[in-house]
Amino acid sequence: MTLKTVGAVIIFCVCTYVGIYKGDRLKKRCVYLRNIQTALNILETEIAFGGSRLKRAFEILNDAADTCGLFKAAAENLEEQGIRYAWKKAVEEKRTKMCLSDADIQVMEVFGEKLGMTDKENQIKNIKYVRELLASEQKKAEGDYEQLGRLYRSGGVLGGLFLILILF
Amino acid sequence: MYIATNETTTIRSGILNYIPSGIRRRLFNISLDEARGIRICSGKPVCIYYSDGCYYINARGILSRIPNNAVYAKKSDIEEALELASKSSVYSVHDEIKNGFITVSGGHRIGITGTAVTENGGIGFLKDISGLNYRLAREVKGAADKVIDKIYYNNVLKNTLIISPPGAGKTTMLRDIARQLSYRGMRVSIVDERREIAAMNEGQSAFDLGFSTDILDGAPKPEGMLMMLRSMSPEVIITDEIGKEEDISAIETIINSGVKIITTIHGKNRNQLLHRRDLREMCRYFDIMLTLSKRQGVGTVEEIYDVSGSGL
Repeated sequence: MTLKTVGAVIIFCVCTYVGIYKGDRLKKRCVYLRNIQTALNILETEIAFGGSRLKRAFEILNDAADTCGLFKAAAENLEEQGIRYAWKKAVEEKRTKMCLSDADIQVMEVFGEKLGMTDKENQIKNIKYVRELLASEQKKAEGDYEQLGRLYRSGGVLGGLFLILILF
Repeated sequence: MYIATNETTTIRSGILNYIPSGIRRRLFNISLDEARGIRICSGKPVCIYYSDGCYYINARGILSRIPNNAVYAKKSDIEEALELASKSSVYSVHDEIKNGFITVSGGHRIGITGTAVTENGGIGFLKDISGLNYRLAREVKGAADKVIDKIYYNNVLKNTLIISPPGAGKTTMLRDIARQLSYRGMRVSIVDERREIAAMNEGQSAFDLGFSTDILDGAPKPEGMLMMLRSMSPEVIITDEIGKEEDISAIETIINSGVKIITTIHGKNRNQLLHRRDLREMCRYFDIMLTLSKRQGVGTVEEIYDVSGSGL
């Protein structure tokens, strides 16, 4: 009897947790997309007025907005590789933590194409363009969270209860 | 000849950080200490210049006077070099590219050539970079030993003009003069318009210029000299390559305010200078005029004259 109860509780907890976890990831995606845009805003200022080198600029961005250390990783990668690979590698490293979708990654790759290696005007254009793309992705992400977030959470709880019912 | 037996971190090997990787690995066994420059041009063999001429490198990293089996530079090498020189931030060196060279840490200058994009009748930018000319910096402590006692004697510093053709070591001597005067306790201000004397990089000079030396990096000479005069209370202002009217009138102001000037000018010798009307007037400001050449190696002092025209 007790074993059944324990088993039921475990199943319930796991299912609820999975539901909450999935919902949470959707929320995180929204938050990080917003933070990346904030970081890009600061990058635009750094390039336009400070003329800071990318490594230094990335270090500033890392402190300014929480992006799971994306910019810090990119700065570190710059030590060994060219900017395109450094950026790509950093995005690959952090994509799971930031809960980014494939569409988000594509936008990040667009950013990496022109990053650093053109003049100031084109850098700023690139940043503005990528920010627009990210804003549109963020909107979609927020929509997803509204619709699916609640669904996942309640789905987890109900799914857990359902499993308990059919198993016991 | 020119084979390194060990790899120490000298100023010279620091340049390797700015050489594209494909070419860099051929240079590991070569001593760059005596090298004056490296030329990397798209589609042409890589060339290292020593005082006795140009050497090519082959795939095994051995120098040779003939270009057979030489390592050729590719377009991707140039792009990589640009990324290394600008630290992946080409936008931050826009002005430097516009002027045709990027100064990197260690004081080396990477000259750039390519297709000019004109803007308002002048050069706005360089695109499609086709060639890079690495000028390796030399810090020679003691380069000014032969002349320092003529310039600074009995606690009196003399206004000095160094006349020199290109590549004869005037900037190296200028650096050492700054260093020696600074260590003798003088307040030295350097106005480094072409960013060559101090080779500042993120606020640090690549060279030892002394503790009481202040550096204004990249400013036009006339304005820079007057600014340092007002702001840093110098006892002597050091600058490189004067010649324009504005430079000369700034020098006049400096000297009239009691601050000394040590500077350089392009030329073969004092007589040549005196033949030019515009420069003859300027010559009377200087207590000492000395001429350099490459005759017995870089930094050969050919002649030293004082203001009265008598040789020293």
